[in-house]
This record gives sequence, structure tokens and C-alpha cells, in this order.
Amino acid sequence: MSPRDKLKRVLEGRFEILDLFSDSSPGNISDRFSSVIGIDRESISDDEVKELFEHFISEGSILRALTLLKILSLNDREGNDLAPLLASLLEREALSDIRPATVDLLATKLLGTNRPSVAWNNLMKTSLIFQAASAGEVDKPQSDWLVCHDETPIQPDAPHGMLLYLRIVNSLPDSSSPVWNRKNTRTKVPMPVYFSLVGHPDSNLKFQKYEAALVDLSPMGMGLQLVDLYGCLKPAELKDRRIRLEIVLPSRKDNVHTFATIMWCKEEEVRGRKMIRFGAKFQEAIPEQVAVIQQLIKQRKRDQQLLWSLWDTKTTNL
Amino acid sequence: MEPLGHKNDQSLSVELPRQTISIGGGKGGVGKSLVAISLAYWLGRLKKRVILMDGDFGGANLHTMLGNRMPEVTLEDFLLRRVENLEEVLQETFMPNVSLLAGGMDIPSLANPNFSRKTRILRAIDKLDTDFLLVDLGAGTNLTALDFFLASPRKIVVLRPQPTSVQNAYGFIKAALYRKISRILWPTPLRGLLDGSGDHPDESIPRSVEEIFEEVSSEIPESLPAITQAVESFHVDIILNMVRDPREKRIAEVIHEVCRQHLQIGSTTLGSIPFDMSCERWATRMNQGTFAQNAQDGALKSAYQIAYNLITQPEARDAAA
Repeated sequence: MSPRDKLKRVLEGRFEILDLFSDSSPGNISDRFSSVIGIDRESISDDEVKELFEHFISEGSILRALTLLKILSLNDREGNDLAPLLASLLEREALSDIRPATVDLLATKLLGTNRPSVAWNNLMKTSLIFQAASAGEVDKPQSDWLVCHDETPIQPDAPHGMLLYLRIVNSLPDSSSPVWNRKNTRTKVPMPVYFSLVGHPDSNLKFQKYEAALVDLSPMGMGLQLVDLYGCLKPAELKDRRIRLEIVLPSRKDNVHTFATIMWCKEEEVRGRKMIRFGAKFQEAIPEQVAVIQQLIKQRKRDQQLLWSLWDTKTTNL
Repeated sequence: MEPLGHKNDQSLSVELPRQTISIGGGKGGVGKSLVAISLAYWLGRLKKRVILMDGDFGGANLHTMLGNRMPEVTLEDFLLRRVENLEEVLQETFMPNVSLLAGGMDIPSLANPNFSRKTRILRAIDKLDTDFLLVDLGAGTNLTALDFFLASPRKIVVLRPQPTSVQNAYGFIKAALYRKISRILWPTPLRGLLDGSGDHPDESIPRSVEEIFEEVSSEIPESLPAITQAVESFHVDIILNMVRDPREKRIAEVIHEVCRQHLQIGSTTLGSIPFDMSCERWATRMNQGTFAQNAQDGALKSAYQIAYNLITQPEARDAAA
């Protein structure tokens, strides 16, 4: 079997090769493939790398494409040969619409930047090892697990009746944070948002309009915080509560109104004041509203646009 | 485009004495020179020895504002070695305890002093015996202005409550910070990152300090502490000048917020100075006799509190010195 075929079989989840690994095998994935299986950058041609890479990309298997680069990176630490492939991937991803393909966590993290050099460095830092796991864990991947399993059921020749897993070791910052599980990158957007509780049994609270500070924002949801001066809001009661949101846009006549559900809520003490923080997921956001929110996010990434937005806010009543 | 970094820049990282205060702002006509003169006036009245330096090498006219249309000796004489010591350039002014280092305009090529000349001035300034040195920088974001601004422990940015002034003030602060970071990046593979030169195409220029940190931590993590220190030690004081309505003071918050979010640097409002027609009249006639007459009200009176703060809060915000 040629190195190219071996590599393809491993990345496709054919497990017979895994039996070649032992506990004494090197931890680094590229070292493993080089020393145990004899696959390294020298044993596979540029055209084969490119063909395999494109093959996985065309299947939507971004993680496998990245793993391919990882395996072959042993003799190319600087990424001189392989970084262009990564750059092409990043470019394609950057151009594509936001899509729910982000179950591929490593890919999500790497594609969080449009800078090939940054992505490459992340890839180089990441130590991938194979870790066997039971089939039951497939449906409940841990936050720090990188699941790269086949859609097909357990194959008879899989060692110990297990699926193939890839696991990231000591590479992802704060991988236990719920932020890691977000499917969309959030952008810090400090601006006021008004909200009211929908269908709250207490009529006093039901019609109350609260002002919160928008902490961060994504097309799917937002993080908010507010000081509850009168102690009316109880975090435990807010969770799963439906709210009506009004996002104040300095440059627009009509603010954005939408509904959202509070997914989590907690109370903290900040500088002696009780602060309620919560994350809300948009519901029933119409495309126009999503477009406005995305535009807002895009604008906030540029300092000049933030400057003018603040200028408009500060000079409104002058 | 003039690159932000240069191989000699490491040597330019001269740290001037703690009492050196640079006054810049990016935009012309915001009142930098008048603020500098007003602060010098009050510092002098408060028994402090003050040297007022014209840091506008391309358009020196501070001497004119102080009633000396044709100074006998200027910084040009020092740069051309007609005089050996900077003390020989010092001239008395009508303000008590305030001396002037006048800039010259005879030789256009000196508008952008080269590395060695800049270094010579900075080192000579370092030796001046004074309580306060106020450097009135020129408009724009030329490297000379940025280098003097960076060399000063206390950095003041003057702006007016008008959009172009706010925009230029922020641009000036950003250029100064990027210049400071570029010096650190010069001997590294990320040289030219911030101005799109070298191996870095324009589209890869980081848009914020956060992106710079991202790039540095990825490419040259060993330089991360130096970059972090450079950013954390960078602090600017804002003076809002020509304020017509007290509500306009909140415009300074625009600068604070953008600096905090995009540059990750601290900034504070040192004070505000109201719009004062008498300043306009004074600027038209340059009659030194009328300058002090306005000390009890208007703009000059507001400058007193700022000068007082400079004395009573001597700690330099910028920890570079």
C-alpha cells in the first residue's frame, strides 16, 4: 500500500493502522506517522497532498484536511509547502456564508482567523493523538474532544469495537468554557439594549422595560449585562424566559426589535454592585434584522466606524 | 509611505526626563500652541522653571506667538552646530520663569531631521536643567512628531469638539502607538507588519492591537512581553479645547472608548478649556500685553487648573520613563 493510500485510509477512519501504535509511540501525530507508519512529507508528492486535501475539502471534511496537513508537517515546520493549501481553505471559508458546519471544532478554532500564518501556528501547536472511545460518547462529545468519526456504524475491524477519535491535547485555550461551544464568534459591541420579559406572571415585571448593556453579539445571539437596582430580577427565573429586545442603532431611525430566549443567566458582584449577566439566543429574527446585526458586527471591527458611531451617540443632543 | 519602523529606531527610544510633556494632536488649528503657552504661563507663575520648545520643525512659529518675530538663535543653529549647547538657544520670554527653545524655518531640509539629528536633540534635551519641558508638536503624524511624543513620559493630546479634530487626534495616538510597537518588531520576522511593508501585504495589516497580539503570540511569542509592556505603559492625557457647551466635554469619551477598545491603551481627560474670543483676538495681534490680562477668566483661567494638576500629580502616566 502506498503512503498516500495509507494516509487516506487512516483519515477516512480505517482502523487497522491504529493497531500499529503503542504507548511508546511518539505523542506528536506527525512524529507518529513518520516513525511508525513511515508516512512523512518526503514519501508523498505535492500533487498527492493537494489531491487528498481537495478530496477532503470537497467532502466537507475540513478537519481531515487539516489533519492531513498536520501529519505532513514534520519536515515543514515553517509551513512553506503546506501553508498555501491552508490559506486556500481559509480563503474559501472566509468567503462562504455562516453555516452550521462548525461541529468541527478544530476547524472552527482555526478558521476563527483569516490569517494563514496564525492558523498554521495554531495547527503546529496542536498535538493530536488518537484516542479510542466508546460509541456512546459519540453523541455526547466532551468540550475538549475533537470528534472525527465516520458517519458509518462501527466497523468490524475497528480495534476493540471503537470509533476513531482525534483528541486535542493542551492546545486549546480555555477549552472548558461554554464559549468554546459557540457556533458563531462573538464580537464585543458595547451599546445599550432594551428588553422586556414576555409573558411573565408578575404584571409589574411584565411591562417593565429594562436597559442593559450589550456586551457581545453574534448573528445567533448576544451577551447582556445590567445592574438590577431594585433587585426584581432573579437569575433562576430568567433562564429560558422569552424576552423582547430592542437594539438601539445610532445610525438608524428605527431600532431593531426581535425576540430572544435567555439561555443562561448569572448574578455577579462587580465593584460592590450586583450585576446580572445573561446570554440570549435570537428567535424569529427576520433576515433584515440579521443583516443589520451582521452589519453592526462588521462595523464594530473597524476603529473608524466605532469612532463615528460613538461620535453620533455623543453629539445627538448637542 | 514612510515606514513606521527603522533599523535605527532602537537607538531612538530615548526616554526623556519625567517632567517632559509633549503636546500634540494631529490636527492644525486646535490650539496646541496656545495650550502649551497657557500651561507654561501658569507653571511659571507657580514658581516652576519652564522651557517651552517649538517641536514643529516644519512650521515653527511659537516664537512669533510669544512676540519674537525673528529670534536670533534657534534649534536650527543647534542642528547645524552653529552653537554647541542647547542652553545657548534658550531665550527669555515675557512670561516669568519661562524660556523658549525657538524653532527655525530658514532651512526646509531641517523640517524632517534625520535620525542622528533627532537623537542629538533628544539627548541635549535630556541634559537641560528645568522643572518642566513643554514640547509643542507640529500638526500631522510625521515621524518627528511621533518620536518626540513617544520620548515624553507625559503625552498630551489636544482636540476640539469637532469631528475632524477627534478623528485626527485618534489617528495621531494610533500612529504613535504603532510606531512604538514597530520599533520592537523591527528586528523580528514581523518587521513591516503595521505599515504593510516587507513581506506583509496591505490586507494583512492588523486592524487593532488585539490582532497585533494575536499575530505576535503566534509568530514571535518571545516578543509578546515587550509588546504587552509597550501597550500597557502607553497612556495619553486629553485636553478638550475651545469648548462652547459644557455638554461637549463628553466628546472626549469617544477617544477614551476607541483607545480602550481598539488600542487597549488608557487615556484620561486632563481638563477642558472653553472657547474664548479673547484668544482669537490675541492670536490675531499677538500682543503679549493682553495675554496676561485674560488670566482671571476665560481660557487662560481654565488652563490654570490643568497646570496645577501637572504639578500636584507629577506621576507620569506613561511608565516608559
